Amino acid sequence: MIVKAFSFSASLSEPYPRRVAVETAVYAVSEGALRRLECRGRGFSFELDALDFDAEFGDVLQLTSADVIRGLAGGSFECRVSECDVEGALLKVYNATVNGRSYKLLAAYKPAEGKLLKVYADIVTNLAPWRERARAVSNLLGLAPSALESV
Amino acid sequence: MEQVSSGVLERAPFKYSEIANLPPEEIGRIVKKHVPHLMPKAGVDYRVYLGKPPELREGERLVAYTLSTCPHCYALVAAVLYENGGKVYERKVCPEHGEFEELYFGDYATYERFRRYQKDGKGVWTPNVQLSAPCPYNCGLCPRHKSHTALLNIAVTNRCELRCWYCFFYAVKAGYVYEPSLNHIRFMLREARRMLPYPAIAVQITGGEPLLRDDIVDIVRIAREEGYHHIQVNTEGIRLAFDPDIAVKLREAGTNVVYMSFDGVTPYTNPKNHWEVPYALDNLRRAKLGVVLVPTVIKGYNLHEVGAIIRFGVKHADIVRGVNMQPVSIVGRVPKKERDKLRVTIPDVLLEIEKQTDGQIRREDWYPVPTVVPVSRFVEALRGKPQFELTTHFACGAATYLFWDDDGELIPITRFVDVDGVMQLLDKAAEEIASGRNKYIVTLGVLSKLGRYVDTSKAPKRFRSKRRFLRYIFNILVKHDYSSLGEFHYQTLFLGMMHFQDPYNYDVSRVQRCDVHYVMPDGRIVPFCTFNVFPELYRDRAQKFFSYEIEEWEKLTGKRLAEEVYVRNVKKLMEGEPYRKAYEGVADVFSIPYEEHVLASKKFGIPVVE
Ligand code: SF4
Ligand code: SF4
Repeated sequence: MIVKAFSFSASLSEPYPRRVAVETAVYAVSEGALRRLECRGRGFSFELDALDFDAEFGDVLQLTSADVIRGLAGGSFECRVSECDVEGALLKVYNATVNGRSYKLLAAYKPAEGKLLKVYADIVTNLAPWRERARAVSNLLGLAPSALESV
Repeated sequence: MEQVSSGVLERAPFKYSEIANLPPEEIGRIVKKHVPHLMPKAGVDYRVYLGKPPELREGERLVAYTLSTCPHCYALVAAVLYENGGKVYERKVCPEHGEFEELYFGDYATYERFRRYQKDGKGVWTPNVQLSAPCPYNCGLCPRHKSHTALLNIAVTNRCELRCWYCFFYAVKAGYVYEPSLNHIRFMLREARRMLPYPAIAVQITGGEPLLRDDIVDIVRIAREEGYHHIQVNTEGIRLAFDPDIAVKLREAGTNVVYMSFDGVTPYTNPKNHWEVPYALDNLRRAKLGVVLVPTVIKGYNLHEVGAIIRFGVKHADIVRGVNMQPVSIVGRVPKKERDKLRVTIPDVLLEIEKQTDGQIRREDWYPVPTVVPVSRFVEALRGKPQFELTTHFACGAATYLFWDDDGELIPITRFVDVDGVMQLLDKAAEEIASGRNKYIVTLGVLSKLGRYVDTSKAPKRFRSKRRFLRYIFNILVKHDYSSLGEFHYQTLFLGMMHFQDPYNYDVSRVQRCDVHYVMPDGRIVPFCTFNVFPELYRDRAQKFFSYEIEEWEKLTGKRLAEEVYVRNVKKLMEGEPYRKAYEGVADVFSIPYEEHVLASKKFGIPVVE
């Protein structure tokens, strides 16, 4: 199965000013451990990628492709799309900066009915302490307690 | 107006009566199975043309890009918002249906002022559907929606006793009866109560005309039982005028307020219920059930009466809690020339209000809805859990509170409260608590500073006591409950405005932040501005699917749909004391000849007893 990941920086003027930068790392889950995946990179296309961008960041960053389009007047958006081959459960780690504040955000995926379902997502506007979030994700993905220390 | 018609409307593969009386959970299980079938389909219901947005022309200044829809085929298209001559316009091109240009916001300066208050929320953590289509074809709510439900609408019937010429919705025209059973309603209400981070707590029962249902009081009671704190019933007011008991029963069952259509103070501007409103107000008064007047504002029709509507509200402020104006939303295919005759936007209405109240209510007295987000953030910081947040788009709505002196001078709250100062104070306090400062110390600091932002020497005489006024504010901020707001309401008039979208001025950025939602019969929760703007994709499709055939409904109820027509006795209504008194000092309704009253009613589509 191919999974997309986005790394981008955006400076958006509308409907309110926002500067966001995100580096995404994708990890496969196997036998209680995480393995960082090497993925193929390419440019972003609204036609091909808008929906996946919304699925990725509509909840985590409260940022959608419609927000990006809206903010482009007098703003900028640069995005790299990574396509990764995966089998089984997955963890995405977003190293994000939003208006000067840094965050490490997590999203966990599990296979179900031939698809990968998002089973957990941090939401930048409502974050629990890192330790609680790491514990929740480790439990969901069956990771060893130390697995998230190095991400 | 010709209605756009692209979607195929069909009925479920079973009779609605076969599921109507099953337990709520069972109904939920059955209706949810049909969601995939009822969702809008790419290539059938909509297309996506995400090309470049239209170029700007001479004299136009770029404001923003956005996504919008083609008013003819509902395709998703790129659009540009630009300023020209001090106004904001939207332009878009559909490859099949050409260019559309529409007034988006009638004053650029107000646009810029309102924009400063935009804040986003926490989204919806319990989406009802998976993300599978572009917005707005994925409702909902889908995981990318930005605001929880602030007001849930539930349509309980599509029957109506009026036959307004512009309406396509009522049962006789639609050709089916949509009337969910009580158990079905309970299921729908429960769906919205499941929502996180904040379950729906306010519901509007609407239709059609909900008071046509014999079990309307049971519906209100069910909403209470399901945990709704604030219940409002939306009505054209005809039944309220003639049945004094219904208002009492509604209040006793738990209705907080009635939302009543009220488009003007003369028969010309309000042929819908001009003659009945005085009687409805009297009955509501007796029942002690407050009412919010809801005018739809249309240029060239009733825009010249917005000041008089507010004065009418003030005159009846013992029972009128607010006036909530709605600049017209233009549905169906309407040529540009016709649209320009009707179109008004929020700043246009604000300017007219300023003119018609001799500057007593100025444009600057209004604030966009998300202005109050810092109140929620502060309470959230105190309580440590997500709170009710009004995070709609700044272009969707505006509000203010109106007070008045005994001599009739209107005094908006902004004349004696520094709203910006209070909001900044709360924002800062919320930040401090979030970064670990002791919340009791921060709260004490807020309370000690609050007085600096209130100058009661400029307030109406009744509010000159700073202590009394600060008590109101404190109750709202710290207790954050409806009863404290209610106390505030009785002394003031809430003035609100919401510009519902239409396919001509549509803006996906607005609808993603929408917090006025409908619960559909299949359990999906859908923003007002997709439910009503794309009826064939949402409202009509879902309602017809779970509807009765007219004959079956008539057989089951023993009623005849065609006979449910209101015939107005203008003469009798005009002779009554409540009518005479209601408009006194606001409009000279008796100077209008009786024949013109009758003509206004008939032209609108309401027959008159001769
Ligand atoms: S309006 Fe909201 S629920 Fe509907 S598709 Fe857009 S984001 Fe999703
Ligand atoms: S109902 Fe329409 S106008 Fe109101 S908040 Fe929702 S999108 Fe905006």
